[in-house]
Amino acid sequence: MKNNISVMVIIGSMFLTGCAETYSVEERAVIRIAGYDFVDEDRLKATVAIPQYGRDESSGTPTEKYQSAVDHSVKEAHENIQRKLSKPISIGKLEISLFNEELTKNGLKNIIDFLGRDPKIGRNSLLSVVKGETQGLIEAKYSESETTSKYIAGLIKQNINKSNFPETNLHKFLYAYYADGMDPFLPIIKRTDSQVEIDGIAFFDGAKMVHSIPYSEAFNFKIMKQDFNRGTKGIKYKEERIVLENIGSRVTYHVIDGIEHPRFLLDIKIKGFINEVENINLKLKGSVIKSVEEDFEKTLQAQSIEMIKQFQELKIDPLGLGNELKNRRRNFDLKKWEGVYPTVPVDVKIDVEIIETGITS
Amino acid sequence: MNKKRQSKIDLHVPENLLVTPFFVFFLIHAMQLGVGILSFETYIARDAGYDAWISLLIAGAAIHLLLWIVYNILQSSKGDIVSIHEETFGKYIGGFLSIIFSLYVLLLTLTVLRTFIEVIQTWVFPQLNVWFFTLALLLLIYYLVAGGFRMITGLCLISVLLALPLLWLKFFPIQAGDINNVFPIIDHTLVELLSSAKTSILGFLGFELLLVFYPFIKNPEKSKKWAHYGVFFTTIIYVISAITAFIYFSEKQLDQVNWATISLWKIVEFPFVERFEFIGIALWLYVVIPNICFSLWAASRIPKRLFNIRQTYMVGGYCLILYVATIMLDERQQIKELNDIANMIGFYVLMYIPVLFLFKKARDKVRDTN
Amino acid sequence: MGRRGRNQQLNKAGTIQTLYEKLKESKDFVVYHHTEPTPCVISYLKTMADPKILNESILPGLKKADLHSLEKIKEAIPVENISITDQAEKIKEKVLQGYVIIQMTENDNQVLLIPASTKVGRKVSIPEVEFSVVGPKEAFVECLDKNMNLIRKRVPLPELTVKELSIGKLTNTRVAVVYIDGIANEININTVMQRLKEIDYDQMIDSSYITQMIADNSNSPFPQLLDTERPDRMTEALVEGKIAILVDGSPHALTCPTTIVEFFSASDDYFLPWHLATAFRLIRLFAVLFSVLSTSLYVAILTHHHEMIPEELLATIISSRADIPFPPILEVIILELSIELLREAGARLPTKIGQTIGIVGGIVIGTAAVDAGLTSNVLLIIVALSALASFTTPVYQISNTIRLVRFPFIIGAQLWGLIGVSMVMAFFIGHLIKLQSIGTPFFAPIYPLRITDLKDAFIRLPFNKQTQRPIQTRPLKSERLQPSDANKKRDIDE
Repeated sequence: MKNNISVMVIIGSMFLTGCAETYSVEERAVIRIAGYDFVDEDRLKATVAIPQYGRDESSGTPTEKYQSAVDHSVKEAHENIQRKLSKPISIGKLEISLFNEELTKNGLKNIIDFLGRDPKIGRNSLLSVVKGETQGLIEAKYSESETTSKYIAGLIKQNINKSNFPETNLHKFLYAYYADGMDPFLPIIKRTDSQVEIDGIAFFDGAKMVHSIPYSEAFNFKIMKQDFNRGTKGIKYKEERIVLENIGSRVTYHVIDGIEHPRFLLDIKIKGFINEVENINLKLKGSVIKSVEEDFEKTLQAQSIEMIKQFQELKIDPLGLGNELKNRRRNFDLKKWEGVYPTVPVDVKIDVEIIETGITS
Repeated sequence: MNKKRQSKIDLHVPENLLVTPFFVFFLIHAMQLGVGILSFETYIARDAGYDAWISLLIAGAAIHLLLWIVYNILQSSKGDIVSIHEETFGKYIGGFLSIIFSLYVLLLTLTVLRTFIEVIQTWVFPQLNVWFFTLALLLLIYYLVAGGFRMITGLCLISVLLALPLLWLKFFPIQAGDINNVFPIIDHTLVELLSSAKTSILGFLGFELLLVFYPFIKNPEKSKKWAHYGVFFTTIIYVISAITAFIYFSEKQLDQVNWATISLWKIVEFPFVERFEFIGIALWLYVVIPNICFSLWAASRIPKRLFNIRQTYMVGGYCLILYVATIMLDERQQIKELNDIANMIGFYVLMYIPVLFLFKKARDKVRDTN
Repeated sequence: MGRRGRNQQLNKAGTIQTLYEKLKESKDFVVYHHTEPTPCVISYLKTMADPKILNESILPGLKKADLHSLEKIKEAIPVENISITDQAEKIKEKVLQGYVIIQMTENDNQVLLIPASTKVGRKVSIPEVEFSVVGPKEAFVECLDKNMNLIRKRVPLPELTVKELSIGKLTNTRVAVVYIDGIANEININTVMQRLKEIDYDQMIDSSYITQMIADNSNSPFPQLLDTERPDRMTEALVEGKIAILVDGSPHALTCPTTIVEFFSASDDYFLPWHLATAFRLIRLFAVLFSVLSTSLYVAILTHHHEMIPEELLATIISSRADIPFPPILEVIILELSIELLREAGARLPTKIGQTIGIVGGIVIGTAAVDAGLTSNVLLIIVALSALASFTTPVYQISNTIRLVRFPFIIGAQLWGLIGVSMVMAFFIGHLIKLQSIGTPFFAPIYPLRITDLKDAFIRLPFNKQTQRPIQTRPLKSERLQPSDANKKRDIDE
């Protein structure tokens, strides 16, 4: 009986004291995309887009409102943006963060810390480097049916899932950022008039961007980095352009020899089919296929080894060879590894198997 | 003489309040699993790196051994901790030790309660109205503890049923991670492994409550098997959680993460719901509540046995202590210290179990020769 | 004291003369002095006695010859179960039931009681609350004897035991406790009998009075006895070793002990193949959870955890809520209350108008509220669905509980989001663990976990797997069928 009374008391007091200030979802400025530009050595400019959902516009696209502010740190910049808004900022649904190239080259340490520390930010949110100003990129209008955030996030996700771009998100970035013997990478996007396109891959040394490759080489990087089953690669074969569509590539890292003098072998197996041949007269018979396969193998191998050489010269390790070594051999020593990394022999073995040539021979 | 008879009567538990041996599994398991599992990965990996899962197995084995000792003590005396202390150390010293044990269990309760509120403050409501939330939570806990041991057993069962599906969510991080991280196996020295095992063993604290609820088990001899299964199950869950975190995070990254298990929920996405950590924390309430209720029940049962006080008053009094302490501890650093102290004392209690065993054996021998 | 004393006085008949005095106050009490050839006094309640028996059996019997004693008259009248008595208590009881009294003279204490009672009541008709598409279509009526007939014809067993009590100091209502001797456990029977005997109240109008009076915890929103209007469902309960309570004047029987899951199992579940039955039962359980939790989750997520809403849904939800002037909690409470209003109105109004009101209220008010920007259409869908879901429960009583129970959840959600919902849920789980039905756990087979009883709880296994009666009822004989070799798995081509 006493219990029931106490329950009544709780419920009653909940009504009285429980009505603290709360903001329901439509009363918040839900930021979906944020961009950070370089201002000077210790200041950055933050730009955010806030979708404006209206009652009548539920069928069409919401419009977006843009705000930007300059300050020393991300949080302070956000606070500055807050001053210009009628609704409290909510960072919880942040889908993509953009960094302009100059800022990236100066280091992203504080932004990474902010993204990693805030429990409200999803670990699947995307990061990307932008060639040029992020503010302009965010504030431009691209599509009638999509908001900027949805457009850019869709662009990157689509390229990861169905095309040549390797997998990336906030968690993957933090993983590589903190891991021993591994460095992060991010996509580079660039605005061209009325659209945005993926420009290449940016490679980081710690929090600083030090290297980039064009998008045309992304396929080579992706086959070395992960298993995947999409993407296309074209090569010259006897003056003809032949395009290989990857339907399944597998990469295995082999560590040869001990911790003192490690050697690496990347064993890559690609299954694919040919779906575009420039010269219609080229008959894809058994022997021809064999030599096409060999050509692909040679070209890809040369390009991959070249790419790794560049990494070694810059002392960056986006493939995570050091991490592999640490997982394969006992007594891994980071200092020592960093010393030997530029000279470690890395060999790439590529095995291409063409299993289909389409429905015309 | 009269006093002695009194305590004998107290020890008798009515037939309809006894639980079947099978439920010892849930009782032991639910008491061991608390808030520790939300963050233990970081701490155990500090000493033994990604070999720490081996340390978990070592710790699990040690707990099996201690459980065996506890059963040995209990089976030879057919009582609970109060009667064992009385038999072994006499009325005054024994009683004093029992009170210490009661306070230790209360400290465990406080640690779980405060840490869970801390989790809510960190992850869900940074502006949480702590005094009000704690009040509501403690009233709920009081209501549940007033339901007695039967209620607590039921809650433990429900907690396992509701929290077990959360294990499926490990699939998401495992898929996103790299299994190679846990290799090479045994890359650390035995000393490192053992020091990590010492940290891990704290996750298993709580099984010692068996010393209190033993008289509530029907056919207690048969419950031994289930208690060991319970510890084994806890070990398995810890190992799975640890390995998942090791696969998902890189070693240096894990060191930066405060609540690894909750971070793992963050990436779970379904078409109708994202960001599973909110659901995870809300469901974790069903793990935390039985834990708090059980330890509060055990803590308040000891004074009842010692001084014949009504347990309701003790529960109320302890709730008040918990309430005040929860409000006073409001900084993250203090909460961390609280955890450290509780862990340290918990470790001593674990060490005390074999000591008690030896004392009791010696005492029995003396009595037999007399 | 005063009231109680008067009640007792009412019950005490005293002598026949005082009884007569009281009855003569009523217009329908007839005292007829018969003279030729037998001088005697015939008295009865006109409204309760059957005029057919009076005219065709009693009066012709008295006409035969001069009969000098009650024994002679008894022999002369061709009606069964005539008795002679001088106990005022018995006479009072019988005359009120419609018996005809014959005395030699008006002041005689010896009277002849001739059963001639007639009862007005409706015929056995189809069940209206617990309707099922397939299966028997008979439902209990208000007459206890007819109801017993419905049971007896289904269980032609000498072991089917009926214990009768009369409860209610003024109404003296007949209450029957029915069970199968040898299956039902005596502990349960004794508990029920004990509690029924302890009822001290002046009236007993319906079986729901009993539910509330003998419940283990009368403060609980959960009904602890299952009520049914289906004789087939009651038969099933009896066979499982449960005890049924029937009240004269109530078309609902009670069965006990019961469990929470039983409230979500319909008779249809046994008339359909087991896989279909299982699927529908699971859908029903999901519907209950949805009904209880959906609006509180809406409040929790929109107010506190909007991060959880997937991107695609976010736009829909925000734009539907963009111009709503109220916070989600108020929006939900307004809409929930208006649905409750419709329900109450629908239940009170005559059937045909009720339906119209339902449609008018549901469609017109709902659409208007959305158009006016008072509620969001997303919430309207959720509330309407949760109202619909609460109607899927086969037992009406528990659907009332569900209606009430969701409000604490909404408050919890407003306070602490999902954690608040969890806390309220923990409270109710604790409450259910505590709850008992006639001394047996109400939350079984979840706690105490009874794995064998799970065969007919959330799922229903085929009949050949239902070899044991549920442990819940502690049956004396638990075996239902001998597992035979016919059910064994055969190898290919055997």
